[in-house]
Amino acid sequence: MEIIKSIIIAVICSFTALLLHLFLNIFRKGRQASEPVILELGRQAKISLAAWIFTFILFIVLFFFPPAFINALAGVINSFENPAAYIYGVFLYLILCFSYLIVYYFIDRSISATLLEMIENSPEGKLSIQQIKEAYSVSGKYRMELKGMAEGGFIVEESGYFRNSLKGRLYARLALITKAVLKLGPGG
Amino acid sequence: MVKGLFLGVFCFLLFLLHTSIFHRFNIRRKFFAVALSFFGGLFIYTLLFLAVPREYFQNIAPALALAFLNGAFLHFFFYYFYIHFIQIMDRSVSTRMMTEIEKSPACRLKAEELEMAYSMDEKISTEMEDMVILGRLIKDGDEYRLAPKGRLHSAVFKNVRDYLRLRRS
Repeated sequence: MEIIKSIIIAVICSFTALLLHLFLNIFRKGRQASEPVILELGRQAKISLAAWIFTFILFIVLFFFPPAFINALAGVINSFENPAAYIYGVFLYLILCFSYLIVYYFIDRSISATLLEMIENSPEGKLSIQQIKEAYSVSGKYRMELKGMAEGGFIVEESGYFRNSLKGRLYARLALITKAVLKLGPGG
Repeated sequence: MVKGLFLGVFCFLLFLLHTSIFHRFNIRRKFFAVALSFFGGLFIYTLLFLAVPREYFQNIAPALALAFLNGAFLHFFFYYFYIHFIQIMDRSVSTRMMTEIEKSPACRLKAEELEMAYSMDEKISTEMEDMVILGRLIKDGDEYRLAPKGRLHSAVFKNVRDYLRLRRS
């Protein structure tokens, strides 16, 4: 019963943090056209972390003094304890795997780590931007990216043109909405 | 609920065993291997859930402390998920390419047109600029060299990539 309550409270508090972060973005200027990409991303990370820490205080209060509706909802879920426990175990397994896969993907696909390694392995330990672009095979990477997106079913090649598949369109629309709401600009 | 919680965590640890397989053997289809480990873990979870009685997990840990830790973990997991979602929407090369196609008048672009709208050349320049701001690189005239933070960053990624036998992106 206590665990069910903690799940309900965590969902409520995280949803509150999300709304708070979106609300704060209404009053922000967002990324300026000439500024480096990383700065706004860093600001977004700090503001959202502040929202999550603030709502963690709410989490603590609700955890030790839960309102009646949380107790009632937890009671209803607890009456299906076995299926609820099974589903929660699956959910927990999913989010742990997901967290790991984010790190895995980040390490596997990181361009910056590859560039750092390239500079470190260069004879003099330093490279110019032109040397980096030559060594990194920029055009080859572009083709690989397009190939990967086509294999993943995000884009379709038709008589020399690339268009988004339905999955790609949905994904692109989601990205455009997110960028518009958080005022991120084109990014990349 | 305690049973689901413990078995979920246990099966995740089983899932992580694929990292030692990646280290020992040269697995070419890594994505397929990860997917296989994932579904294998889920299958084992279901079997264990059906086989192990609930009583085994009673009194395994103080209920209130366990519930608090569980809730706090979930709360910060949602943050972790959200911040990575923003990062992928903002920084990913493929996301940017798809949004450029979507924004084009006919919703389709030739490879050359796409490269004019967003090039890998531009991405590399952005990455280098960001790494200077983050203190990973030092700009020395026209050249870049590693700062101590960059050396550490590079060493961590290199070791993990070597351990898992990952190709360089």
